[in-house]
Amino acid sequence: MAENQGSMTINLKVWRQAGPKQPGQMKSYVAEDVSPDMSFLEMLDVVNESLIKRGEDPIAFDHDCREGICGSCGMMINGIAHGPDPGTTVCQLHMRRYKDGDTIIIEPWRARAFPVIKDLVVDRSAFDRIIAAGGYISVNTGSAPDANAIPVPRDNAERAMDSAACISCGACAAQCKNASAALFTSAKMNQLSLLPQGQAERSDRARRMVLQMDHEGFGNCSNEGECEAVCPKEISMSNIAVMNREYEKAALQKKS
Amino acid sequence: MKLDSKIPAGPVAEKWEHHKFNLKLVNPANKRKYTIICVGTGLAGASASASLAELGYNVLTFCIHDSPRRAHSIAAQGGINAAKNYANDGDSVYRLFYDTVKGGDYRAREANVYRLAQVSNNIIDQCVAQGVPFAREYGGQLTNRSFGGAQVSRTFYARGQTGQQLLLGAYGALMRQVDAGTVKLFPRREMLDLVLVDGQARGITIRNLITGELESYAADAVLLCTGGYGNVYFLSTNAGNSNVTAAWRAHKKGAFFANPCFTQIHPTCIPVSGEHQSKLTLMSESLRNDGRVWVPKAKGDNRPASQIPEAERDYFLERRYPAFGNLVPRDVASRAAKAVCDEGRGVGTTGLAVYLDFAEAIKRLGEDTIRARYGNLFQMYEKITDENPYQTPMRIYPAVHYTMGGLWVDYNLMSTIPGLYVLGEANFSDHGANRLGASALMQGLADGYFVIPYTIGDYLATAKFAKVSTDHEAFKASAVEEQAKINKLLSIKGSRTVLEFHRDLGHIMWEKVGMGRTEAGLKEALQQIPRLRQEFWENVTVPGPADNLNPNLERAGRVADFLEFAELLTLDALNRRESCGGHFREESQTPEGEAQRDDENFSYVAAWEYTGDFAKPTLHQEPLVFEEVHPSQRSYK
Amino acid sequence: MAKGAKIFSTAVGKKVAMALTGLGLCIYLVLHLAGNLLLLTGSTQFNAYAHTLTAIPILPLIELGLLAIFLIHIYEAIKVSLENRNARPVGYQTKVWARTKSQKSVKSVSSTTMMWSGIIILVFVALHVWHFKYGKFYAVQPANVAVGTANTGVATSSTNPQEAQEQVRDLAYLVISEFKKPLIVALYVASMIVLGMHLFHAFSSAFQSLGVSNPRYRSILLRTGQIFTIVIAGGFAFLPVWVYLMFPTPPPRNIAGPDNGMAVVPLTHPRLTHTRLSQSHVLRGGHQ
Ligand SMILES: Cc1cc2nc3c(=O)[nH]c(=O)nc-3n(C[C@H](O)[C@H](O)[C@H](O)COP(=O)(O)OP(=O)(O)OC[C@H]3O[C@@H](n4cnc5c(N)ncnc54)[C@H](O)[C@@H]3O)c2cc1C
Ligand code: HEM
Ligand code: FES
Repeated sequence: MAENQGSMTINLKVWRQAGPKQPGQMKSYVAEDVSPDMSFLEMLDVVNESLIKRGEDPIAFDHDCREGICGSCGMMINGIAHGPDPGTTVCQLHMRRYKDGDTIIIEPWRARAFPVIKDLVVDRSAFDRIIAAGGYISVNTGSAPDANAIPVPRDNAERAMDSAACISCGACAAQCKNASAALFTSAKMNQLSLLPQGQAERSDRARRMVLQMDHEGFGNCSNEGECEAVCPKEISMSNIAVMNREYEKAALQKKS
Repeated sequence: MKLDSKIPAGPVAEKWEHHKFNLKLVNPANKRKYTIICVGTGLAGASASASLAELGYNVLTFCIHDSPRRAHSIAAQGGINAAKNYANDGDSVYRLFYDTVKGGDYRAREANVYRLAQVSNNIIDQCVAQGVPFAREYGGQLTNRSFGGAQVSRTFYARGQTGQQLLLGAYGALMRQVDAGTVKLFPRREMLDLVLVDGQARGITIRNLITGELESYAADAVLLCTGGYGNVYFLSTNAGNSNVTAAWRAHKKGAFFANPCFTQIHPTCIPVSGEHQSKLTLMSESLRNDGRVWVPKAKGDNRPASQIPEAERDYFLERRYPAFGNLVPRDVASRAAKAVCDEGRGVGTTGLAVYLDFAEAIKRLGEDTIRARYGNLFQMYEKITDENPYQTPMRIYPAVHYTMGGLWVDYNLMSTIPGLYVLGEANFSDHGANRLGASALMQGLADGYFVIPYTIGDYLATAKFAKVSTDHEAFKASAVEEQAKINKLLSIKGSRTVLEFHRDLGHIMWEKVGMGRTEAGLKEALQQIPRLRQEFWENVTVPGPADNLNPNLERAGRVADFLEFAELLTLDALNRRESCGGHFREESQTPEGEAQRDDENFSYVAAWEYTGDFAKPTLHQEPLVFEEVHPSQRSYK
Repeated sequence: MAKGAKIFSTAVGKKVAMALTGLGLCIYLVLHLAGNLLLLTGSTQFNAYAHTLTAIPILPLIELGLLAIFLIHIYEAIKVSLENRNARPVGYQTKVWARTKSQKSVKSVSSTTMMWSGIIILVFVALHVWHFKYGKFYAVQPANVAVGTANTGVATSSTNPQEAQEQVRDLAYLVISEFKKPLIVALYVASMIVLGMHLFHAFSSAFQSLGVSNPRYRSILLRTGQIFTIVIAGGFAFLPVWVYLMFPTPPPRNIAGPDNGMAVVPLTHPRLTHTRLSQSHVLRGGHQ
């Protein structure tokens, strides 16, 4: 049982940047009285409370559900997206991972397509635009047939679910040396191409999503799999292979 | 003002059909002349925005999050109900309707619940067509699981991420419309005020969270799909951004707030580990199928669980409710856990937890079976607590989870302000005093996909609209007022943080307006809340800029609203001198300590009107009429 | 055609182009290695193979194709790398490989140095072509090509003009004599290590880019890539080392001649080269 086994002092180096256009810099803070049971974000809460008390601007970071599902949180912790635990978002990372006196370096996601808004908060709307370019099945409300009219092999449904588990946190692109959005884009593409409902728009979807991904300024995929390694939902880079295949098929198809 | 619920006449099974036929339509070519504002992109907001845009309306959609997909609906785990009867186990629209009315402890409107049950099947069809990867049988057909409060298997699910998958389906539909240009999306925007012109909802004032600027948007109708207010308790299973602000500001502009005291406390959450705690994590209800709940028999027994012999354990749910045992409904289980902790028999360092023990199930079924059933939950538990639940029992404690109360709406989902519609958890409509598991997702999508597209047309086709743009006085006045509030927050420069005030408020609410409510406690809370509110406005400190992203300032505004709203919630709890569902007045219990409803005096919806004085809202009663299901006392012995 | 170009212009398309060209080069490497290893069976076989190859009428076309593939690969490599760099204008102050967190990453020294290994390969290839293809020209009689002097690796040269008409290049002699120089051997071995580094990541990566990878076979693919790398890079590196250690040193050849080493001969064209053979045993080639 690791209940409040003493408290720790943690040294932080955090990227502070007042706004999108302002220059930023690393600043040092000391987090005192850190309990091992705290989540990483709760530790930041403590730091922020003390900043607020001193009348300083607290460190801005995105967060919401704090249970690893909304995809809001995300930062580079000691040079690795979402920190050291596999399959874990920052909000699920706990301070018992660290020792008294540790130094932790915290930086925002870095990518041309993810401009910094403030401190650790970046603009990830590029992901929304990639989805808008075809990450859905076009079916108007009310026009659906009975749910069981379209059987889906269980294995396909399960694999579609594996891909659909993406929380759009951006860690994949943040960790990738090329800031590529291939894992994100491919996960959605693969989910839909595994399902019979997704067939009609398959090639259009592949073409448009890939184009949008490029348009947003993400890099190319070097197939290193750093994305998969940091993905809190452990989405496989095999999805990327599927995307490539989908795209090739689409490109080879005749289209006006 | 007389409340008109606009419930159609006729047999309950035909009401919706008749009503749909009687609603006026907007002709297809005219739809694009109407602009509709939708605030919120959870299940309710995303589904409504997409569906209305598909019909041809111009839709402006707003959310606090950086992406519409992050709305709190994403966190729902368990599943969504529908009366498909694929399991062939005797389910029907009527049975789903019946279970939901009963589960709500007879404090919901029959007509609404019936409609909900009717459209539940269309929801599943719609979601499947969108590519939601629901769990399936080997034959490729959809599969179901069981949930509390029902004797049939009617819950559709996508692993432990049903809310996520449903929301992503709706979000996809929404983004498709964004792509088509029919929806304009405004993320990172917070609604601060509703703007009325000639008594109609004609727009909103929002704060652009990135630039800090106030912006005005005009429309012909406004939909609030802004979720629940569970965070009034500070600690809840809700996400950090969940708030009452939009609903509360609309309330202050004339929308009645209904049954705010109906809050649901979920029995199985990971307990608080210390002062630093920022939120609570739900452990699915399904765990109670195999886990046994117990505490030591002796007070202050702080031996590790493994060293407490069988004879010195109190399996209090099994003892008190032999028939249902560990599977009593949420409200009953929560109260029982609180009672043993109040007796000083709670476990863990805080003493605010009970054991949920799988040892027996593991012995009986083997660790592998348990792992297959609950593996992901056990893992999540271990991640948070650093304890291995295969070896030591889980520690759980009840936590605020859902709010049944919300803005009052009629059968068309329109509030008491013409043109203001309220959907999803933000309204009060379908769950009465207690929500059954897997029915909130159903309601959010029902409202957005299958109700509002019909009912809004009637209003647009029949109401008279003055030509209104954001140049109108009302928009300017609203913006000036909101800016003044923000400036005030920034200028106080006191010595306590927003978080501290929020925590204090949560403490009052949890202690006095939580699981067990007494007249004395509620009255105390009614003393404390205004005092805290006053202190807030005198002593809060909100550093940081107004013209830039400032999450702390956002939170300050929300806590300020919670501090006002909490008083209404408490007043409602005080007013309702009966126990029903999640609302337990200790004065009103059976000799065995169970909730005692008072149908004679309280079979009504309490709809509160803002009067300008937080202490004196006006109560309007909408009587509840039960033609189909006859209220009876719930018993789980 | 415009459409074809567009296909390859996206993030996926560019990598498909790289993968196709890269794999094309891999195929070439396999053939090239197989040919090289013929040397182990004897100079005659080796020379015969070289001769047969040079006798293919469309060889220049094939070589041009190969060059094109190579250039496309390099072009895409540069483009992709520049874009990748551009995709993160502000870098991290601290960055750690995700391998430290999960074994799912296949990032390696190899994958992070693709451009460097590529450039070294490029330089090596240029040197290599200059060294052997356009290198010293020792001649050998066709008879010897057929009969061979087996493992001595020594071919005779003839001054008889009649015979000279039929003389062909004694590549085996050149290779063996060069690989008796320790510096050359070291250079070749080092280059092959670099090639191996390129291939270590490249082989499986190409299949991933082409989309033929799949979760079930992914580990097999990775393994195959490793084996391929070892076989190819190892095979190429093996030859010089083996020659250096195991082959007897060939006797020095007379390389005197009037236009020693300066003859302007399109060496890819055997019939043209024949005319000069009687005058010189050794021609040092160059472009025009
Ligand atoms: C942990 C958990 C598990 C659950 N599990 C289940 C389950 O298994 N089954 C089930 O049926 N139900 C479940 N529920 C309940 C269910 O998830 C919610 O009731 C439902 O999703 C609410 O949906 P909504 O669309 O009304 O609101 P939300 O999803 O909360 O969306 C609110 C939206 O409004 C926006 N918003 C809020 N305020 C403002 C403002 N002022 N300005 C602008 N935008 C604003 C937000 O950005 C967001 O987009 C669960 C709830 C929780 C907390
Ligand atoms: C024998 C010669 C070569 C072979 C067999 C070869 C093969 C390959 C293959 C198969 C790939 C994988 C493509 C993919 O990921 O889809 C690759 C990648 C690469 N090659 Fe080569 N290559 C050769 C020469 C070169 C040269 C000369 C350069 C550059 C000057 C180069 C630069 C690169 C780079 C930078 C990559 C990685 C691209 C990325 O990161 O995505 N290669 N090579
Ligand atoms: S805050 Fe939601 S995933 Fe971390």
